Amino acid sequence: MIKMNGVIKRYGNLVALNQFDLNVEDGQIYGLLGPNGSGKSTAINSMLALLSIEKGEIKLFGQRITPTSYAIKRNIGLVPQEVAVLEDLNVQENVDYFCGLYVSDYRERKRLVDAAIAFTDLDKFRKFLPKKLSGGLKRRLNIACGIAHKPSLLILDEPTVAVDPQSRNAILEGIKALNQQGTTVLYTSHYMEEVEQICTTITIMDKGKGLLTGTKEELKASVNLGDQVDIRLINHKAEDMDTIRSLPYVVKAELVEDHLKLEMARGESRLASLFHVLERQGIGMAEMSVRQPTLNDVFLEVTGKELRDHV
Amino acid sequence: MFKTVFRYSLLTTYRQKAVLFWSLAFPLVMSIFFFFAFGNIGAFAKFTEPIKVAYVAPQTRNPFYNLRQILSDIPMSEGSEARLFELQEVKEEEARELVNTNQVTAAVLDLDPPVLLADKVSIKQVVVKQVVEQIHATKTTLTSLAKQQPAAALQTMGQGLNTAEYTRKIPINEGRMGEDILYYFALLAMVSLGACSAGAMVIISQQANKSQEGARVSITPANKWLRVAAAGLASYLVQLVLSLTILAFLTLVLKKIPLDIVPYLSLLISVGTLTGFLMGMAIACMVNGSMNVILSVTTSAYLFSSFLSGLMSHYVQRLVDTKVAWLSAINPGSMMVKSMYSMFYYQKANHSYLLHMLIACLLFSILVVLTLRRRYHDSI
Repeated sequence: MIKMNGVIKRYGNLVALNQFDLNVEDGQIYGLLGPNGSGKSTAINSMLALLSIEKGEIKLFGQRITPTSYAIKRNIGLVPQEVAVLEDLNVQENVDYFCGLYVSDYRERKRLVDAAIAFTDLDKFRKFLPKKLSGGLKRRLNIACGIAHKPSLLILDEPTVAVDPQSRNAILEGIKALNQQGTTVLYTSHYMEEVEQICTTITIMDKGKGLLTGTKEELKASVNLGDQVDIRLINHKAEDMDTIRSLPYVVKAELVEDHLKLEMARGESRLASLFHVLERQGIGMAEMSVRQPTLNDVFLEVTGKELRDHV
Repeated sequence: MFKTVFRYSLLTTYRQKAVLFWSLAFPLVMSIFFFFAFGNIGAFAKFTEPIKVAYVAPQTRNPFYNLRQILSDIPMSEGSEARLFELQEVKEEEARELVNTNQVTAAVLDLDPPVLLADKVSIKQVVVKQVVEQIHATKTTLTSLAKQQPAAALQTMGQGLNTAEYTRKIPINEGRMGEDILYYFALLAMVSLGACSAGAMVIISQQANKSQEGARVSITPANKWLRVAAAGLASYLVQLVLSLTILAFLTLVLKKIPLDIVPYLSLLISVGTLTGFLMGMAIACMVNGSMNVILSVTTSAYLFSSFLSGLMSHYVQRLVDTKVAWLSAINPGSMMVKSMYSMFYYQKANHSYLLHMLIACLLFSILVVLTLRRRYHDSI
């Protein structure tokens, strides 16, 4: 559905997209992850023919897209990062306005507008101007304007920024429902747990390049991250730490007060082996937790932990 | 799609409080203010004694313009035999002496522009200053207009401009228009040109690199030219209706505009509003920046145009007309103002300014088309 091959886009000396590839298949919820300034929005604007690209090829629905590719545009819906609605139109008028740019027939449009308003649960706010809506409701209106014409490809650019957990959950459930109805979704976000929750395939990008692509399981497997183990110890001695650190499957070990924090290489029977060693040393365990690596860990591992957005 | 954009552009334009305030409420309030403030302009009935003024004649006299005669002929009040000024023609040194010793209220040096000498400021000095300035403004405007319409100028001069009417009303209008109509003309001109902000907003709302809404509509299958045309037509019509509402208020409620000039004035307002509107569109197309930056540049251009055309000070108009006439010729504000003022000064409307405005519209349209043809928006 979306194919980007070797796309290069520069803003002056800044390379925003550097040989960027993307392949979104029909029916997917595709997550595009990246830190601020990684090129996510540039990739979206390029595939929508809002920006010219220097090199490479972009195809949507198997065809090259240009600003006048109206037949292709008819099948695309966009939910931009900023709430892009008209402040002087109420909820219903806004949805009708944007839907009217795709659908001319009045009756058909009315049906679609009502469906989009119902889908985003904005029925009670039909006559409200956007300035009277809360942040979450505005986001839902933003989505309603992007989906009313029933696009087969929906692009959502960080749709849940500054949204409370309830609204966020409703938005994510809505996206899943749209996908089940046949809409292919390209979803960009900072929020790893959202992407982990809904996306079937994920690309992590940084500095204009796609760094990793795969399912969330494939991504986790592709980087060398072990399980995070936290054990509260009883009767331990300082020299016990040397023994623990010498174990071949312990990547990192540190003692914070009574808590032994371990990063362990992945593999079966390693926890059992650890327990055996602790028992042999006469160390008791009060409580224990094991956390498997998350997409967030993968993201930080791939893109680095240095702060972004610095001046 | 055209209908959808047109319909919702109409709705958004007329719902904008700023549009209604600046294009309707504010001009209405100003016109009411003018009505009460300038309603009896030119009436000097409160003076029972003539104002003593020393007059210093020029070295060479202009056969078409006699300031001494004009000042001498101004009556104390409408239809009165008594004269407002008691003139005493003297040499410059003597005039200064008379002013210094308070034997006269002020002295007028008949230069170009006239110079006023006064020792203090009171209502009498203000009256002399206003009258002299008004006479000079009228002379300058007539000189400028005469270059465009010499036949009408000769006719006007032939009917005797060297009278007190110079400061009150123009004989060719047979007193139908008081001089205060110039303030209302200025108001209508400013409202018409003020459509430039609405023009800029059309581009901002439709161009992907100008606003989020613009980016959103740019990825729809709606043709860009159709969108701009529909939004532009809707917004222009709202502006035109607001301008014509003010004209109707001035004509029917305040009764300051003679009915027979309303059709032509409506045409001028239509073309003037279109000129301002397209000027705003052209500026918005050429300026890269946020909505606030674009609107600031548009407003500055509008204010500068109004300033140069003398809408804020007659002195500036005189200065521009005499020192940088080319600037006056290309300034949409001047075109609008002069086309209206010519209706006051001459019997016949001056179509050349209307033609200038139409040419300006054409040039602005070409600029808009050339800039909008860009297919991508790399400044997003």
